[in-house]
Amino acid sequence: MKQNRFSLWPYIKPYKVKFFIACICIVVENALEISLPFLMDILLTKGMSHHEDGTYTYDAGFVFMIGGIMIGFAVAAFLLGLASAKFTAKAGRGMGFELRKQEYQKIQNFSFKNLDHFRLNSLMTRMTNDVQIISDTFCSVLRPILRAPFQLVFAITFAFIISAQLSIVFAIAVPTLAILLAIIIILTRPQFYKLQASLDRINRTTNESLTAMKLIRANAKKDYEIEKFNTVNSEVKSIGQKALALLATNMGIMNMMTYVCIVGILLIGGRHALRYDDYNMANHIAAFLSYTNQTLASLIMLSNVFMMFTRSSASLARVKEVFECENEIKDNKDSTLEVENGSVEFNDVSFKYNENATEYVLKDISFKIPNGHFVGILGETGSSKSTLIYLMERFYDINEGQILISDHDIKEYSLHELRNQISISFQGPRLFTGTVRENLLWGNPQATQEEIEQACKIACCYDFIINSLDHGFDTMISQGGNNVSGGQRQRLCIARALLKKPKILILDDSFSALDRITEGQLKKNLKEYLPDMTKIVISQKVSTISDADSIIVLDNGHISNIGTSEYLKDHDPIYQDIYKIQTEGLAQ
Amino acid sequence: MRNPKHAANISKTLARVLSYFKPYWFLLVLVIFTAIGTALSNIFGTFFAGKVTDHILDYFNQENNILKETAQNTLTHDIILIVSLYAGGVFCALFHNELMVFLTQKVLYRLRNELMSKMQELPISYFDTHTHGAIMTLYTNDIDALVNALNDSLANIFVSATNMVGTIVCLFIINVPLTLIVIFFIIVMLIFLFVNAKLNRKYFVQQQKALADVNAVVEEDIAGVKVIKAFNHEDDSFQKFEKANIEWRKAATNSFFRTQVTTPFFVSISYLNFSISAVAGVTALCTGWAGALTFGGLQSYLVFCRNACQPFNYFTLHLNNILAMTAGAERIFAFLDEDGEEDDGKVELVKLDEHNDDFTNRYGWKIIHEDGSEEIKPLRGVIQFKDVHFSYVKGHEVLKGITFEAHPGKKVAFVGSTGAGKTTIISLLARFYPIDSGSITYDDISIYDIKLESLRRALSMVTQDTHLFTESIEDNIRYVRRHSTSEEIRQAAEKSHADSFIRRSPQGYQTMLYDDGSNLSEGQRQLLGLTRATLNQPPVMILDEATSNIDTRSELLIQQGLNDLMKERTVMVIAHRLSTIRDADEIMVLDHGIIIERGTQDELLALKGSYYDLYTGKVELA
Repeated sequence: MKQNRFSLWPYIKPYKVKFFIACICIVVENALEISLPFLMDILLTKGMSHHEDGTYTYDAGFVFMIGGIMIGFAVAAFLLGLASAKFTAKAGRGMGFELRKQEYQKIQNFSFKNLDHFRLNSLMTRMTNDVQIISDTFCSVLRPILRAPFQLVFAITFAFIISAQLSIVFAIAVPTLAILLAIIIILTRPQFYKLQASLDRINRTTNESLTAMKLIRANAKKDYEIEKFNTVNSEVKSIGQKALALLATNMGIMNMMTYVCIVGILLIGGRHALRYDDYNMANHIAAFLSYTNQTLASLIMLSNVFMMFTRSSASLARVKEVFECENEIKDNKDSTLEVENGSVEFNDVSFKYNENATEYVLKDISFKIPNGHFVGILGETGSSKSTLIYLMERFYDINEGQILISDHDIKEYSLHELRNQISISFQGPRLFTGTVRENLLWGNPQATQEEIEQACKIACCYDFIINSLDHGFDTMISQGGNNVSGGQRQRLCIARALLKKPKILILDDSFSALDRITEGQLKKNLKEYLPDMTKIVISQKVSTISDADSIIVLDNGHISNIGTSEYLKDHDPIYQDIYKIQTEGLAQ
Repeated sequence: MRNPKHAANISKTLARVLSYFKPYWFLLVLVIFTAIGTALSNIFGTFFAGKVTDHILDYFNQENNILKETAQNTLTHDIILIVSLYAGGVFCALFHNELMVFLTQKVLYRLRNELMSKMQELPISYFDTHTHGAIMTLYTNDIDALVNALNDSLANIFVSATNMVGTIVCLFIINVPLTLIVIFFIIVMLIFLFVNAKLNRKYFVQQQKALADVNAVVEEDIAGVKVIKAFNHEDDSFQKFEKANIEWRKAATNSFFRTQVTTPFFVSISYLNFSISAVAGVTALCTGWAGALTFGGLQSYLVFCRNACQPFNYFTLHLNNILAMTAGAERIFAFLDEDGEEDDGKVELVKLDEHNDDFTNRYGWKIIHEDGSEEIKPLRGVIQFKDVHFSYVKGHEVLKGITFEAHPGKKVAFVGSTGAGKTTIISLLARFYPIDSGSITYDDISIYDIKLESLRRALSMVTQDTHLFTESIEDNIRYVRRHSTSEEIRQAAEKSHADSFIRRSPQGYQTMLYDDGSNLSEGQRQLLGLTRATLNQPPVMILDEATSNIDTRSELLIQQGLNDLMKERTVMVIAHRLSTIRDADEIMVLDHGIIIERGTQDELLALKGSYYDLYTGKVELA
């Protein structure tokens, strides 16, 4: 478990004052509580006198004073308890807040490689539920973890002060119980990890079955699915029985030790009293019976704390992984170098996602794009078209070769400058919750209404924003942008990309949902209004890029050919194929 | 909020939960008896421990040696009694705790299996109207609540209840007036617990809402992280997140503080009760204002006092657990009580020739006529729709009189905008939904006369979304035909052109897929979907936008690969992209649930109607 160590202190630190106040309150409250049986012992031995005739008298002033002190302690303990709860909550939730915040920032700084490594769903869990669990555990553990040792030490000390003879019982019982509980924990922990893993498995199986319901029905795989689930389910049952049965012995053992102590105290105390005619022993027995519960309960508390750690350790490990992940992209942050123009040059670029992979995803890619050109990239599914453009923005760093933008190696620019000058409209057009305007302003927060309208007109989305959206630019976009059609979403994303006024515009399959007339208009606008911007268009449709200045044809990570449509029609077999398939019929 | 705290009918739900214990009713009764035994041994133990002190004092009070000896003997007897009481208590506690763990897991195992079986039987429309999250909650939160309640609370509520009653009885036996003090404090505590629980719930709901808000922001930002990076939008996005995170901190702090208030309150009330009782007890012993009281009695009284609040606290805790469980259990039972898919068809697909490799020759339809005679009809794959009407919601017809035929060796295609009803037609054929009127037949047998499982085994469907399981690529392909060999899978992948990308994956065919295949591109996923269809052998093949994310050139290569396969089969294709369907024997253009044009591509182009407009790019398919 050592490799699992992960310090939460940096996240508590901003709340350290609250944290310490909480700790102090807990300890003092506890001290007040522990003194209770001690006070009672004084009350019974000093406040009362036993007479030969079997009657008792009491010192009223003394008794009421001690009683008053006890009541005062009770009230003080209540107030301290409230304070400790408040400050524990503040510190623990603050810690969760800080942890989630730093995790968010860490993930924002992740390279694409890091993002690929964790999957999106798992990153979600790590930032939401895992943080909640860690914070919950911290809050609920703080009190017992401070109280238990304190209570143990004090109870034993007071016990010794009252009667050394009776304390022998504790001296034997406490270590015995501690060892027994430790054994249970050691045995249970691995079982609980197993249980957690099998619960994860059962949830995953259920979720997959749920998502794939139509596939299951269409293939009549009902029985297979039920059987698959049954296998995991019986595993959960048998591991659950084992783990929980072990844990349940906790209470039995605790009961047993308490009883052993009580009997021990009565036996030793009783025999002692009779043998030495020690009258006070009778009173001590009462105080000791009180301490028995307290002492042993503190041990149980400790063992519960360990179990809580076990349950949250999976969350902790997951969060830790996020923090330990190193971004391999080194940002040349302080660079003041600016991108002068939109020329692009690839020199013998090779790239693979994983160092250990045998095959390159892109191999020996070389080409030049002069400023202002319109370049098309064409290739089959999986021919790494998108990867190629990701490399330009340094979403991934290349393994071999060099990429130049505006005649400088892209590593010489700061990432901010690089990404500011390259604007990309991704394959799956993604909008965010907020108004249409807010979404467009992503491109440039300072853009004026005029600039926004201009960009929208170029991207052919001005008309539909004004005419078919209920509140024009102030229409709310729902999560995922589902309240506008696919084609509208693509155009809004292009407008957003244009507002950045980039030197290079990349459109990754951004026309796929547009009709030919809109597509033609949009391309015409780009050429007419933005002649100096380099335009790189990825498409599966020949018609989209046939009028490009040059077309790069990719085939399985290699460049098959570069040239104009006319040239490729004569020289490139892949282009010929695609061209034929897509234009056939039209030529008739 | 669809999350009431308790079930609407608590006793009915509780009875149904308990009915799951029926096979083990004897063990359950034993659990309850031993639970009560645990509590009784504890109470009597404490009671007699007080007696011991009394007897010690008795001993001091005896002048006479013989009497002293009797006192000593009584003392020994007391201790033996206490030891045996406690030993019984320990045994009972261990017994009921262990047994309950065992029983709970057995019951939950059965419940989970029932949930899964039911889920596989529910009509598809159920999943259209219920979110995945809501269904998953049954398996996670609701089952968890059951574990908590059954494992920890069901037996222990008897322990607390017995302790509660026992403590009060013992206190009354020791001294009535002193006990009234304790009763007063218990009432104060119960009032507090009741009020606080209500408040807690309110703050807990607020915390859950704040957490859900953070989730939403995080989800959007993580899914859109590429866009955020590309637009240097990190700071603005962070601010939005920070706001949600601060709200969470506020709500979560409040909620935790609320739940924690109980502890100091409970501790202090016990403390206060104890202090006042101690003083009152001492004065009572000395002045006798509360009637007869021995010193040992005072001691027992104080021990009981100190622990008097505890069983009440535990009792409410267990009661809350059980009540909280009933809400989840009621949801689970409601799910289990849903009606499954209708499946009263009698016609079955039966194996005719075990060794025939050809699916159509291997199987045939077994029809049992009303007079009891059997008929075997050959499996061919002729599909007929006759004037089919259908609506998802009553009054809103999605299909308005669809009629067509599809024969083996022929390919029929459907085009039309989103919402025209293309996918619906296919869903009806697979009986995902029942039709309103008209008829659908498979080999001239009404599909409603065919057993569901047989009908679906006679269809091979590839949908736009390929669902992948957490297992190797090979096993994922194998899904549609579990007994396929690796060699068959490889051959299928070659035909569907998935072989090259699979071989380039890190561990080839053994590469593990995770999270519904999130490590694959959309195109690659569809290639796997097609590979499944290639491996699958039924005579009717349905491709619903199965190549929408695959480029046109690869698509053509795939089509060539599949041509062999399609030669003998009935093929139904839905596509957005017209190049996919140009070689179809019949193309049907759907618009708002009506077939507005039908014919081959050439015929449709000659019509110069809707198809022509689509084809020439005049209109965009939405």
